[in-house]
Amino acid sequence: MEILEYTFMQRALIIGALVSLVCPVISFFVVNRNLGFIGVGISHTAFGGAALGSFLGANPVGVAVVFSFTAALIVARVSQSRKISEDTAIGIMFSVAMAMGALLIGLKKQYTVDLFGYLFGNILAVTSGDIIAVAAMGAVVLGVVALFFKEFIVMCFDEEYGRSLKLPMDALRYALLGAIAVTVVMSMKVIGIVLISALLVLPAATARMWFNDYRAVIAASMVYTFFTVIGGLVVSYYLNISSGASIVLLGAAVFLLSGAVRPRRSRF
Amino acid sequence: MSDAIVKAKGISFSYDGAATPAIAGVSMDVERGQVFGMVGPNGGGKSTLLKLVAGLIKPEEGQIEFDFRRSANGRGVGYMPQHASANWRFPIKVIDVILMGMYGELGMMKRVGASERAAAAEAAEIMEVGDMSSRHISELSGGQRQRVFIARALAAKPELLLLDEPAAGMDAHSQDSFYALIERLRDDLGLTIIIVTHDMGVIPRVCNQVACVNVNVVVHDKPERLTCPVTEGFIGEHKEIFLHGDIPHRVVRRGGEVSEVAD
Repeated sequence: MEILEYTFMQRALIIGALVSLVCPVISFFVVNRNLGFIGVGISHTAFGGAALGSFLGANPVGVAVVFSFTAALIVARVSQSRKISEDTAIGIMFSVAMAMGALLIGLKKQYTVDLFGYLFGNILAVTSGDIIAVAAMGAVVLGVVALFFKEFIVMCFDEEYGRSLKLPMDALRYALLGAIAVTVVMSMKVIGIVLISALLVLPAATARMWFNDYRAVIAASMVYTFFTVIGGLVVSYYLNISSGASIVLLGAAVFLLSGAVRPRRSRF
Repeated sequence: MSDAIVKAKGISFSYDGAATPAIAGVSMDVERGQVFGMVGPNGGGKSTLLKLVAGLIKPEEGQIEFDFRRSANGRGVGYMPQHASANWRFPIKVIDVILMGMYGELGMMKRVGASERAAAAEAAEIMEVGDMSSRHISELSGGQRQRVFIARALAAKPELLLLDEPAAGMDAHSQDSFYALIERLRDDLGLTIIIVTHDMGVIPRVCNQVACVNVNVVVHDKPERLTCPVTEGFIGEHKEIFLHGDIPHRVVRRGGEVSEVAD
């Protein structure tokens, strides 16, 4: 197949496969903890980091990780405050980071194309170094989830009960938001910062229509993400459109189709 | 002769930013092997007091002492939060909910094994929800869910069971069989059970001790003589329940008038 002969496409597909191992797992927690807007906030904040990295000539992905991680910490802190709501804090934080990104793009015009790729995904920008970085970030996220899986399940189902078991619910919330931050950045080049938030909700939301057990929902989310990410990359190659856009539109189409044909018994 | 499993000594607690304390200077003894009811008006601190006993929140003053006999390695306390605290949309089966009761004992980063599964299955049988183990939690009725949550609290074999409004949302028939089950837990398993309730009918029926909670606490050892200064307004509002419910008429004296502290 011609599509597999290009090195950039091979890299994109490998990263797509790695992303589809990690995103659905994080998506499961994002959907079940209602963290969708937090996902949007963290990912858009990462753009400010990527822009700053480009501007300073540093590694954009590295600076983006710092930004998204800081955003996650701020969100986790604010959620314990009574003075400002989480919603408000996210609304301020991500628009400020985006504004900073726009300012820096304006100051250094030659990086515009590169940063457009970070926003909407650009498979041409994927390097072999990115594969290693993405694999390492994915391993960290899956490692954290595997270690504390049953505690995360308690947190999603009944946080107050988790506290009564003396499980460290606050620390677990930080860990989960940190994992979201890393997932956002590892998906940045293939899907893009603006569009990654879709992959934080669509997989688990689609799988939830069909299954009533968390293991089954996570497994089905993985299958869904694999096919939509790989499918979206192939479409993006042939139609020469942004990879993030094709992945998200394909994923949304599957979500809508799934909603139209889902079995009645799973509704509630 | 007192054999208290819980001794609260002068405990006080205020929520952040609240002008007045939720619980102030409360001392009480909960006797072993009994059902201890907590009644009182909304916002009077019933659930707060239960959370203090559960260790969810720490008293600002005073202390709570426990005297557990059987729980060599366990924590001794099984807690069932209010119905509303769970996320019913969460995709989870009944048996996995009950298994959560073992997570505190099991510890972080440890996987569930055969002994945890056996304990969860046993708790499911005690609460008569064993045949629903593989169903999704949202498919169950309100009464069945409450049984599942009590099974979860029982899984780690506690000596003290804390139930926050366990019969809320149940119809009269479900409540009857539910309270019969509570009595069996006390009599057959020797559990001490603290129940927060709005249901005044349950008090003379199953409770051996009753605490009227309204920031302060008055404990009555004979629930059928429930007249109490701290919840005077509350009982006044619920006069009709006393007069028309299935409570022996001797509970309400002088036509439902609250007259004196009985203790």
